[in-house]
Order: sequence, then C-alpha cells, then structure tokens
Amino acid sequence: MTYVEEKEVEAGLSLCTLRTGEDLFGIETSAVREALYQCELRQVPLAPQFVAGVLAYRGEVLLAVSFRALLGLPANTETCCAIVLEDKESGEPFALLIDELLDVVQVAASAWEPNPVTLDERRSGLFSGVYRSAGAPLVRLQPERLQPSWLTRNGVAAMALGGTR
Amino acid sequence: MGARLQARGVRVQVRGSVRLWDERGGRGGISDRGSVDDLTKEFLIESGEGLDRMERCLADLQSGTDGGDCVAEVFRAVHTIKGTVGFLGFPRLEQLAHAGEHLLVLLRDGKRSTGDGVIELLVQLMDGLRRVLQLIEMTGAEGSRAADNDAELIAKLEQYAKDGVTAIPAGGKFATAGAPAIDIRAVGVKLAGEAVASAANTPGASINTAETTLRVDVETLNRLMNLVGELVQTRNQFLQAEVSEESFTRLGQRLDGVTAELRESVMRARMQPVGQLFQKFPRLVRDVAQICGKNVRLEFSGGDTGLDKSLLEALKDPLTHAVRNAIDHGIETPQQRLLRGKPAEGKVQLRAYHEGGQVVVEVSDDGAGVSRERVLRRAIERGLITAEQAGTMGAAEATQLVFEPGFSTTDEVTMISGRGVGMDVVRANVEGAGGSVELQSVEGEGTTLRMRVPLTLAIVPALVARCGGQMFAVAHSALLEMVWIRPVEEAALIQRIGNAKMFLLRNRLVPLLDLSEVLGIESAPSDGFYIAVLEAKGRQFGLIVDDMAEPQEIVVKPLSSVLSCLNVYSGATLLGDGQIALILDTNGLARTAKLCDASQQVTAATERVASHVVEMPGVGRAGGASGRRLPLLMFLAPCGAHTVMPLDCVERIEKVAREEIELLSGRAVMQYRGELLALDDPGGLLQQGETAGVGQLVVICNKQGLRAGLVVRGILDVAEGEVLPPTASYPGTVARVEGRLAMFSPGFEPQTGICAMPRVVDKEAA
Repeated sequence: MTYVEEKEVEAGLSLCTLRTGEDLFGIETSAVREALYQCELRQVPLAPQFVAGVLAYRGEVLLAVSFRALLGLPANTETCCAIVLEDKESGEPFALLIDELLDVVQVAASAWEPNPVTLDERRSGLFSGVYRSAGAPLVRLQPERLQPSWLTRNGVAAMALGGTR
Repeated sequence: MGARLQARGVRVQVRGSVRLWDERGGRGGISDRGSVDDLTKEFLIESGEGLDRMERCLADLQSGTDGGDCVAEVFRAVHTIKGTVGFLGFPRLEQLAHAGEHLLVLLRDGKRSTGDGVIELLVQLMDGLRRVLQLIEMTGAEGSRAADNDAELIAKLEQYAKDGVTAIPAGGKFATAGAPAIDIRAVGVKLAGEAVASAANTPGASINTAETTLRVDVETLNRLMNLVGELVQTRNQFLQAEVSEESFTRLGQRLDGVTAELRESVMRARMQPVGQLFQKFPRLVRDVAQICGKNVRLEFSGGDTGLDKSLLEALKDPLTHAVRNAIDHGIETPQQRLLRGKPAEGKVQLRAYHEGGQVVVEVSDDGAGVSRERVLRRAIERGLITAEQAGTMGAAEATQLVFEPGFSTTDEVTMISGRGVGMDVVRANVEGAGGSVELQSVEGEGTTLRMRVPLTLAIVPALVARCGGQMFAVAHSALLEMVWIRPVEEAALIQRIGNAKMFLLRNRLVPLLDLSEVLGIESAPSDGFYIAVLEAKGRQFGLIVDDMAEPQEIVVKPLSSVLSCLNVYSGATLLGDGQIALILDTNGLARTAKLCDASQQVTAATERVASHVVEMPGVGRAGGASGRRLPLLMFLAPCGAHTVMPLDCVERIEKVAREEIELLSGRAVMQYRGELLALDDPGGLLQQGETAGVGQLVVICNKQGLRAGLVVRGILDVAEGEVLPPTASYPGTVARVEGRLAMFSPGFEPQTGICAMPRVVDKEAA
C-alpha cells in the first residue's frame, strides 16, 4: 500500500502501521521503541479501564494500555501484539496493545487531511488527522494522547466505559 | 522499527576509585538546567565530600576529641576547593576559600590557637562555602545579588589571621552571627518539608547530586566485569550445547552460580556504611540543642554496618526527624534534668546493627519518655480515640498513638518540630522502604525509636499465593503466618458480624479480608483455603487466598504509577516460569479494608512491645540466650514430650512414606533432593512401625551447619517462646511457650545466637 507519490518521499513521514478492529492506524516510527509480536499479558484486578494488564519486557514490568478499550471496542482475547512506547511525562516505557502490526510506510504531507468533523470526541482526541488513499484511510495517532499519565489525568478511562457509538 | 538505545553516561576517574553516575543524576537537578557542565558537577561532589569531612573534624575539634590531624584535614578541604575553583571561574568562592585558607595555614602551623571562637568562625566559613556551592548547583552561577556577599565573613577571617582576635566570644552562640542561625532554621523546615513531600510520593522532589552518585572501588568493578565475562561465556556454551547433552545440567549449575555471585557482588557494591548517614548529625544535634537551650551529647555505634544506598537515602529524613524529636521533645532542659537526678547533659544515641537479615537503626535518648497521660489527652483532643478507649489503654499501647497522622504532643509549634508531621511521616517513610518502626518508652527514663529496614530493596523473600487463578506475592516482612482452613473447620474458625468476617486465631478475633472480594476476581472454590495472617501498621489481619506456592526470593520490579496509586500493589515480580506475580501492598490492603483507624484496639505490635518494654539496648543480644524470645517450632518428640527447636533451623517438614526410609548399617536414612539424609530417631519410632500406613513426619533441619532429618511424632505449633537458661537443679535449656515449658531438641539449644552449638557447651554450662 502506498500513500505517497514517488517524488514526494523526501517530504514524507515514516509511520508504523497497525490494525485494531476494522481500522488502520499509523504512529511515527520514531516514537516506537520496539514491537512485540507476541506477549503474555497478566491482568491486573482493579486497574483503570484503559489498562489491559502488565507484561514482561526486558526484565521490566510494563503497563499495557489497551487500544481497543480507548476506542471503545470489546477486548480481543485471541492475539496479544504490542508496541512499546515511552511516556514522555513520567519517562517510563509502556506497551500499547493492538490487534496486528503491519509495515512501516512513508506518507506524504500532501496526503494529510484533518480529522473528519463527524468523528466522535473520544476518537478525535486520539487521532491527529487522516492520510487518504485509494484503499482504507490511514489514521494518524497522537502518541502523547496514548500515554498512561495523560489518560489517568484526563479520565479517558471513564470515557472509554461508554462503549461504541 | 526504531529500537532506541538509551545512552547512560558512566564516567571513570582513575584515582584509585571510580565514580558511577546514576541515571537519575542525569535526569535530576542538574542537567535539566543545562548550565552545569561535567567538570563543575565533579567539583561540586568533591567539594561536598570535602566539606563533610570538614564538618566532622570541626565537631571533633569542638568536642575536644581531635586526633591531631583535624586542622590539617580542614585545611586540605578548603585548599582543594580554592585550588579547583580557580580555573572554573567562580571568583566569589575563590575569595572566600582564599581567606579561609590563609587563616588555616596559620592554624596548621600553630601560629594561631584553635580556640572556641575560631572554630565558630570556621563553621561559618563552611556554611558560607556550602551556600555558594548550593547556589552553583542550583543556578550554575555563584550569585551576584546584594545578599550574596561574603565581605563581612572574609573581614572576620582576615582579622583573626592578622591579630588572633575574633569578634565572636568563645563558646559563642549563633546569635552573634545572625545569618547562620536563620540558615539552620531554614534547613530544619526544609527537611521536614522534604519528608512530607517524599511521604506523599511526590515526583520531582529535589535530587541532590551527592544522593544519586556512588563511589565504587575499581576492584569491585573488575570483579563484576569478570563475572559478566563468565556469564557471556556460559551463555555462548548454552547456545552451542544440545539439550540432550550431559553437560547441559552442569551448564545450568554454572549459570546458577554465576548469577548468584553476580547478584551478591552488585548488592555489595551498592552497600554503603550507615556511618555516612550519621556524619551530619553532630552538627544537627548541636544546632538543634542550641536552639532548644539543651545540653546534648551524641553517641554513635555501628557506623560501619552496610546498607543499600537507596535505603540509606530513604532513612535520612526519618532519622533526622527522630533525632530532632529526641532533642526537642525527649531531652529535658538542664534544670529539669538536675531536678530529676539526671546529669545535666542529655544523651542521644544512634546505633546501627544487623539483626535477622535486617538492619536496625536506633535513636535513643535518656529524656523524659512518652507520658501516657499526655498522649491520651492529646489523642482524645484530636478525636483519635474516645475517652472510654483511653481508659483501657496501657502505656505501651498509648505510645503507639504517636504514629497516628496529625498527632503531636507539644503544646506549641516550635521551629524545629511540632507541626504534626512527625512520627506518622517517619513511619510512612520507613514502611515505604519496606521496613518497620517501633517505639519503646519508659516515662522519665527515655525513649527508643527503632527502625528496621531490609538489607536491600531489590530482592525480598516472599510467599507466592494463588487467588482466582492469578499469582500474588506477599513479602515475608509483613507475613506472620499461614493457616490452612479445611472445609470442616471453616464454620468454627470464621465468624461473621454482619458482612464483616473475623477469624478466630488462638483465642483472638482477627479481621479477615477475602482477596478475591477485594480485587473483584472470581475465586476458584476448592478443598479448603489458606489465610495469610498479615501485619500492617501494627495491626493484624487475615487475608483469604485460594492456595499457596513455595516461598521464594523475588526480584521486585516497580509498577507504573498508574497501578501503584491503586494502593493495592507495591510492585511486580517475574516468577521462575516467566509469569508475572503482582506483589500485594499490605498497608494499602489494610487501608482499603479500613483496618487502620485508631479505634482498633489490641494490636500485635503493642502486645509485642508490652512484653518487653524495659528492654535496654544491648541486653538480650550480648547477654546470651537467657530471656531471649525467638520463634520456635513445637512438636511431639517420639517419646511424646513437648519439644521445641528454633524456627531458623527448620528447613522443611516432610511426610515421608515408610518405604522411602531405608536402613543402612543400622541407621535410618532416606534420599532427599538427590542427597543422602541420615535420620535421627531417638525414640525408635521407626521400629515401632506405627506410622507404616500413614507416612512418617520428618523435620528437615540444619543441625550444626549440616542438614539432618529428625523423626517426630507430630507437629504442634509455631510460636514465639522465651529461652530459659539451665539452672543448678535442671541442667537443660528450656523454652517457655504460651505458658508451658518445653524441652529443646538435643543439639538445638540456642546458646549464643548461633543455630546449634556443640553439646560440650552444655556440660560447661551445667
């Protein structure tokens, strides 16, 4: 899949693409520390809604944020695929649980469109625009909105309880 | 995929020692401001250490315990600062250090006498240097405001150097110097503030350069490097080896050995003598005593006791609080002391020692002690307890009330203490570091505050329990005992009042929490369950779990703040099979269950304290075994007698099928974990064949350093007992457990704290 015309590559941005539910998302490659294609998740009772659990990563125990919970989707128990990101505020790494990890793609600035106005509030807070393409649109994620410290402070946990629209 | 490497600066300084920069050092106070370069940072640490030495020497000089080289040492500290500061370009600091150095040369060469006045002057010089260094650390510059002026101090130093006369009277008070007195008060307030901040777990509390750096011997680093080399080598061999190969087991053992040694070496590298912590106290004690108008002498012991660096830092604030409290509230004024027949000079003792795998740091004073009446009156005023409850409380129980939040017995708020953030913060800090606090006090005689902390925070012995199919770990420090409840016993032992469950433990009701209910998880009902009896904040409670696994040493991993603020988990750990177990925060659980209000009466800690209130430091350790209390395993010996052995000696209790016990040339032996284990069967129980069908109980124990098996008739209980020494009429060592006497199993008599001593000693004692 290409979201870019060849000559524009230099001005483009490298996004790591992933799928969760039906949609396709992209996050800046530079924000991703590592990809975990399979991991063993340990649930944490009493944890906020957005927390899927904890997982072991290089001798550390990482908090796993459920991207599905953020989108208001039911939890996926079949696969456990995650990307390791860093919480810029607390300096701690954390994992974002997703359904499937795809390629790294180059996107052109010219293919960018702002979030559609019809998008629900919860999602528009997480996304920073869409890259159009012939196929499915690629939604760009705002890494800082996925950070546990931001989620705790802004009560997205409570919002995520609402379920899908 | 962008995997990122984090750069971690490790600077090596070749001068016999190496300094490791902690990662936090980079993130902490300094580099954020971007104004202090590495060279300056190095200078700040070195100067700080120099000034610490200077402080020690000045205290020695003042107390007259000068070993003869104190002035030279002070000179060196100031000289080094002056020498280094020249090329770093801090003229203000240079001028001050120069004036000080000039005077110190004269003192060192004996051209000026080191009277009291000059020591005060040198203390001022030290304060002045510290202030400038602090400014440099905080702002990167040495200050240029009108207040940042040392002219007066420099003039005084120069005047003394010139004619040997100081403006400060001998034995001078800080009042004449104005500025330092305010400084001390400011420090006092600041420290209290810090303690509150760290108790509240506020991130971004000031991180001092010296707190985040550690001096490590090059030798230690070399050993670590060698071990790492061996680890890599073993890994390479592992990668090449086939699982089926014979060498695989051997490789595993080697890996085990290397890991254990590596762990121990790293831990040792992190160990710092507690004496480092004590260093700043002579000054603090002197200053606080002066402000309070009291005469106080400070004594140390056990300064070379090693403690993990992070724990040392964690103890700093509680200890400062405790010492300040001891002087402000504990020690009486000289007049009062004389009236009570005590020497006018009060005594504060700081002691550190190892005890049972923990480090104990004690602050004791010979002051007024805690008054039961005053404490109770204040507690009632503050609404912590009711008047009726107060009536039933003993002195020891009342003493524990000072740990309640918001409790303060002084009638007025002084500069030093009395803001009601005292003892509860001390307890919160120490418990936060995995330790415990106890307070013993005898009215009119003094108070001892004892802080126990583990040797290291990173690895703790814990019990892994299962609940609803998930694994949870409970640190041993909080666990008192595990009780297995069989379905038939449940109705008798578990009682209910409304929704609240209580557990009948040795004729006492203990509040009970069901872990699956607290966490809202599905518990798997099975055949019986376990109750873990825990102690948090001096109160006992039971926690129902489904099952328990082996106790093990776990490596504590911190949890994200999102989870730690739930107050249910204190961390996580990776188990042998790669599973994650969450470590339960027992204090948090107790809070969740509202077990921590003061209305809860008889508590484990107070009972324990009540049982030996007047224990004086030293007695009971140096005094040998007599009167010592220790946990004991009580069992029925083959002859049917109640017998005990120290719990430390017990490794496991096994039920062994009769067929597994074999006879080798007349001795009973069995195979245990691949080893040959000789069984002691003093009563000939094996010959009687009673246990043929049901299996024989064997206590696997450590007898005089060797593993041994002891055949017993039955296991009775685990309880704390008092050791009674042999008497002329009865030559054996006996224990008193729960009111009745029991014999020590031969070879397990506690003599000098070592598990089991040769029996020769017995004969001598008899």
